[in-house]
Amino acid sequence: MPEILDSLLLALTNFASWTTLACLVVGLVIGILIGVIPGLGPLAGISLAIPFTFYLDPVAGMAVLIGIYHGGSYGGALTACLIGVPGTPIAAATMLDGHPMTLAGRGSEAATLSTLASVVGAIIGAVVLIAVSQPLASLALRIGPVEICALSLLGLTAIGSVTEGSVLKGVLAGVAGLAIATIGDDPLTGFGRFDFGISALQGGINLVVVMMGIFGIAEVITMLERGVSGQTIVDRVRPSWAAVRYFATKSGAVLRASGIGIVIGAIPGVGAVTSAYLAYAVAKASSRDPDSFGKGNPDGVIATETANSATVGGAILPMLAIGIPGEPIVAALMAGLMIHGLAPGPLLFATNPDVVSGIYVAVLVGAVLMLPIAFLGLPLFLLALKVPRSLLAAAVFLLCIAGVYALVSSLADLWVMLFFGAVGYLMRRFQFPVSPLILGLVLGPIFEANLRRTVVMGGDHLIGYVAGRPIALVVLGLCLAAITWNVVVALRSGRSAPGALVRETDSRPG
Amino acid sequence: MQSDRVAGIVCFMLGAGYLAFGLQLTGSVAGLASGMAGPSAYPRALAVLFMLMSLGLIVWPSRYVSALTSWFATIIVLTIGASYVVLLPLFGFLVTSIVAAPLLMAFAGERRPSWLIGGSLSLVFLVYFLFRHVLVVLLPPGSLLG
Repeated sequence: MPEILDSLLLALTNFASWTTLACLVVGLVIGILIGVIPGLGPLAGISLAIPFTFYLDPVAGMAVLIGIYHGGSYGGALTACLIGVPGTPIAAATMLDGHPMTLAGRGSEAATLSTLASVVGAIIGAVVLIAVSQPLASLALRIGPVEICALSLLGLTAIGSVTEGSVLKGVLAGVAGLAIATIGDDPLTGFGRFDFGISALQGGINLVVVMMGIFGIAEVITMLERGVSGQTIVDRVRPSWAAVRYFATKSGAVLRASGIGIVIGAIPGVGAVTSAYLAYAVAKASSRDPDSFGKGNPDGVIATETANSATVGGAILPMLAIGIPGEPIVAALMAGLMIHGLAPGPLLFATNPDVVSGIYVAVLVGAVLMLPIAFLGLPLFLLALKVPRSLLAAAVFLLCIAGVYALVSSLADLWVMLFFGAVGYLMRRFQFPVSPLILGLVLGPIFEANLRRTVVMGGDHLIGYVAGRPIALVVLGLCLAAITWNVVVALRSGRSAPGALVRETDSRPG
Repeated sequence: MQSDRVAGIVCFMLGAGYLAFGLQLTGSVAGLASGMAGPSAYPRALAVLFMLMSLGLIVWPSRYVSALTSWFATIIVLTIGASYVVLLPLFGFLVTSIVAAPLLMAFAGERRPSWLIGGSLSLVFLVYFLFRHVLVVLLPPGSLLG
C-alpha cells in the first residue's frame, strides 16, 4: 500500500504539469461532444485519438484517452435525457427515465442528475480501481467461461425489469436480440451463419449501426409523424439545485449502483450497458414505487448513470491487472498503451509503476474535472439541442448517416441502419420494448460463446463441472432469485403474460 | 388486441424462418465444437423459444394496443434514406445532404424559408466540418463530382 501511495503522489506531481492536465481536459471535452453526437461514442473517439497520443508521453496520451472515455460515457446521457436518442449505447438505459423527465418539463433535473451521477460514479469507480486492483486481479484470474456465461445470464434477467408493459413482448424482443447477434461468423468455429453470402453480414451486425437505426432513424420517423415544427425540445437546461439536493439524499442508491458498475465492469466482456440495465433493474426492484420507473423516476437516471460511469474504473481493472480488456473501449485503451511499447498486465506494475499510477490519477482527476466542465459547458454541449424539431430531425438523420459511415466506412451498413430504423419504429408502434433487444444484442455473443465453451469443457459431466465452480453457482443462484422476483412483481402488478396490460401512452422505447 | 395477434403471427413466422435456416447449419469443426456445442444448436434453441413466445402473444394478446395510425412518415423517411444511400457514392456527402436535409425538414412541417434554406445549409456544413476537419473522417466525396 505505501508503494501505491508513493506512486500516486508521483503521478499527482506529474499531473501538476499543464500539459498532462490540458490533455485530460481536452479529452473530456472531446469525449462529451462525441458522446452527445448520436452515432459516435467513446470507442470511436478513442480509436480516432490514438494516433495523436503517439506524439505525447504515455501518461499524457492515456490522459487524453481516459478523458474521452469518461466524457463519452457521460455525454451520451445528455442526448438520451433531452432528445430521447442515446448518444452512445451506454446511455440507452438512462433514456428510460431521463427522457420522460424532459417530456414532463424536468430536463434540467434530468441533465443535472445524470451529470452528478456520472461524476460520483466515476469517482467511486476510480477509488476502487486504485484501492483494490491487485486483490481483485487475483479473483479475476479464477473467472472462466462458466462464470462469464452465468454473469451474462444474470444480465439477461434484467429484461424482466427493463420491460414496460407486456413481459411477453419484452422476452420476445430480448430473444430477437439474441437471435440477431447470431448473424455472422460463429464465435467458436468461424462458421458463417445467417449471412446469406452478403459481405456486410459476414462479420456480424454492428451494435452501433443497430442502435442508430432503432433509436436514431426511428426517432426521425416519429418526429415527422408528430409533424411539429418550429418548437424546441428543451426550453432551458441548466444545473438544477433541486436535483443536487435530491441527489444528496440518495447516497445508498449511488453506492449500490457504483458497486454494480465496478463489479460488472471488472468482468471481461460484460460492460457498461449491462451494468446500467442491471443497476436499473435493482433500483426498480428495491423501489417503493416500481411502477413509476420508465415514466420519469429520477432514481432510474441516478442508477443507470452511476453504474455506467463506475464501470470505467472497473473495466480498467482487468486490463491493468491481467492484461485482458473487459470491453472494446478498454481494448482501444490497451492499444493506446501498446503504441508506446508498454504491455498492460501484471508486469506493468513492476516495470512502469509511474504509468500505472498515472492511469489511476487520470481516471480519478478526470472524474473530478468532469463536474466543472460538464456544468460550465452544459450550454455549449446542449446548444445543438435548442433547435426546431424539424432541424433536429434532419440533424439526427445526417449524424446517424455520417456517424455510421465514419465508424464502419461501409454503405451496406447504412442499409442495415435504415432496416433497423423501420424495425425500431414498428416496435414502438406495436409497443414492443426496444431495450431488451439491445440487451440481447450486447450479451448474445458473450453468452453464446461462453455457454458453448462451458459445454465443451464440461463434456459428459457438465452438471458436475458447473457444480464445482462456486462463483458460477452463486451467480446462477442470483439469476434464479432475479427471475423469481420478476415473476412475483409481474404477478402482483397484473402484467403477467396472460392478458397482460399495456400502457396506452407514448411510443418511447423501453 | 387484434394488432397484438398480428404481431404474434408475424413473429412466429420469423421464428419459423430462423429455425429453418438454423436447421441448415451443419458446419462444425471435428472434435472442437459439434452437437450441443456446435454452431446450430444455440440458434435452434433460440428459434424454438421465440416461436413459443410468439404463440403466447397470439393466445394471450395485450388488452390495449395502439394500432399503426399512418405509414406516411415511415415511407417518407425510408424513401429519403434509401435515395440518400443510393446517391451518396455518386454525389458525395455534401450534395446529397444539401438535398436531403431541407426535404426532411419540410416533411417535418417546417415552412419558414430561412430555416429550410439557411438552417439546413448550416447544418450540413457543420456536420461536414465536424467529421471532415475535427474528427478527420473521410466522408464520401462523390464519384460524379470527382
